[in-house]
Amino acid sequence: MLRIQKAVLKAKDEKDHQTIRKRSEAPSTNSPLEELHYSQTRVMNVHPDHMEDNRIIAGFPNHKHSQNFRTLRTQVIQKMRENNWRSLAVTSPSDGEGKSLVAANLAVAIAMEVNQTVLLVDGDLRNPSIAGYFNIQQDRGFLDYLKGNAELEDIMVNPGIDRLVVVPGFGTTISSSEIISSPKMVSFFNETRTRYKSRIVIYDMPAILPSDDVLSSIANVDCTLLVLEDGKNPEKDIVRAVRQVQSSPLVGTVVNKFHKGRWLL
Amino acid sequence: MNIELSNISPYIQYASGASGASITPRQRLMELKQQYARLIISYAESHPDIIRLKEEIALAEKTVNVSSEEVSEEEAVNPQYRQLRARIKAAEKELVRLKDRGEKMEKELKDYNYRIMRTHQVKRNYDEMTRDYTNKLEKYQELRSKQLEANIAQNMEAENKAGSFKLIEPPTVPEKPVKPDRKKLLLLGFVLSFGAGAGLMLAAEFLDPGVRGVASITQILGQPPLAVVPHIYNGDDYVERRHNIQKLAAILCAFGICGLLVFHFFVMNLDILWMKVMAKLNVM
Repeated sequence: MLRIQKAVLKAKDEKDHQTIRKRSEAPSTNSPLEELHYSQTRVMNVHPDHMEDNRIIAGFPNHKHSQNFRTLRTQVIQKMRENNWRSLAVTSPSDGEGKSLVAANLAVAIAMEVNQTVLLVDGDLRNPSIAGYFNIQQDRGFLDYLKGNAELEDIMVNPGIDRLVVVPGFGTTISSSEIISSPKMVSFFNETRTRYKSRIVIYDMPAILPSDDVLSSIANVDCTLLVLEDGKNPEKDIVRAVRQVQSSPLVGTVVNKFHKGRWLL
Repeated sequence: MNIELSNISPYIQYASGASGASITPRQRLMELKQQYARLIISYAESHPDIIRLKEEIALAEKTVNVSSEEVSEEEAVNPQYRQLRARIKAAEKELVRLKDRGEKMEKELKDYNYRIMRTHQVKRNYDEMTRDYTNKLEKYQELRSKQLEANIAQNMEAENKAGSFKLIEPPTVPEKPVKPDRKKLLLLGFVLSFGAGAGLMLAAEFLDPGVRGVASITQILGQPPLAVVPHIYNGDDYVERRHNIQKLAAILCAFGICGLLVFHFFVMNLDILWMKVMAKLNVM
């Protein structure tokens, strides 16, 4: 644990330097999205123990499973660069397959790359969970921004990892489908995608089959990553889910909760 | 034959002096008397011829007087007559003998008829007796073999091999019933319960429609998954796992104790087992 703490401290130092460097490089505009990593973004340092407890392990190179996410990151980034894609929706056919966890870990893993900044948006308006993973506690979330109750810079948080900004979700709504296809959301999609070349926006989307949230918004996202829990989905569900998200190209799939002869747990 | 006999004179036929033909005694008597009358004239009384004639006349008279029926054996001088009489007697005897035989035969016939009448009854009796005989024979042979065995035993005893026949311990009523074999049933139940569990597990696995494994996902989507992420365990999970292991240990302990109790009550008392083990160890 001491090692990780050291690593985190080191990363922090690096981040400070980077911030300074970026500030000198970045063009000055008024959009809050441009100022992501700078003074406007609040920094909430998450203790590494909490991250590990919440299974956000991509930031720990010594963790035995972090390599899986690094492999995933490398492949995803390669494909996105090839096609000049900037935004990625992480979703799955049904609930509870580990979308948010994969999205958070992937965001952290991508942020580990020096030349890549990441914006992680909690697009699950019914049941947001990204804030929980990073232990972010604040009054307002992404839903408030979409409803016009909050400014983006008030809700954006840096969880103590360089080049990673999180837009957490708080609260819940029944009319998530309408909100996610509202003009404000569409403009958010477009703005985040077009503004910065070196940024990848990751949307943690709700499940495909239970609601139409994904169906109504997936066209605004460049590509999709499908998370499949091992042994959970019947073949027809997978096929149906893939057909529903075909308006945005499929980067690939991630098999989550893969069992290999573990009896207990 | 009697008629024939009556026609034959018992006396010898005399040929008449004049004609030479055979004559009856009466005629001969007359002839002799006439001769006598002729001769008496010329000869004295004492003349031999006269004497002879007189004698002959007496004889003839006698012959005439006596009827043929009363002729005795000695008197009948005619051989033909005698022969005939003998034959008659023989025939009579034969007749009597044949009559006797006929009676006897008739008796026998009756006897045989009677016997035929009784055949069925006799047959039944016979069968019964045969059966009895077979049974008795079997019994006899059994007894005989027993006797033989006994003899052998006796011989062995006599030859001082009697040790093996000594009654060391009187036979006791068995403590446990032969059937049902509770041990076997229990074992079977154990095995079957585990088998059923495994079977259900396999069935659930087969019936689960979920797509499992990298290969099947690759087959459905046409491309392999970018990454395979196993379960990520955090501190809570490790705690839970420890709890699970503790639970499993507790369950196993309970199982073991149950097993011991079952062993104790159904198979063998534990103290006896302990003694046996100790005895084995001592022997070793």
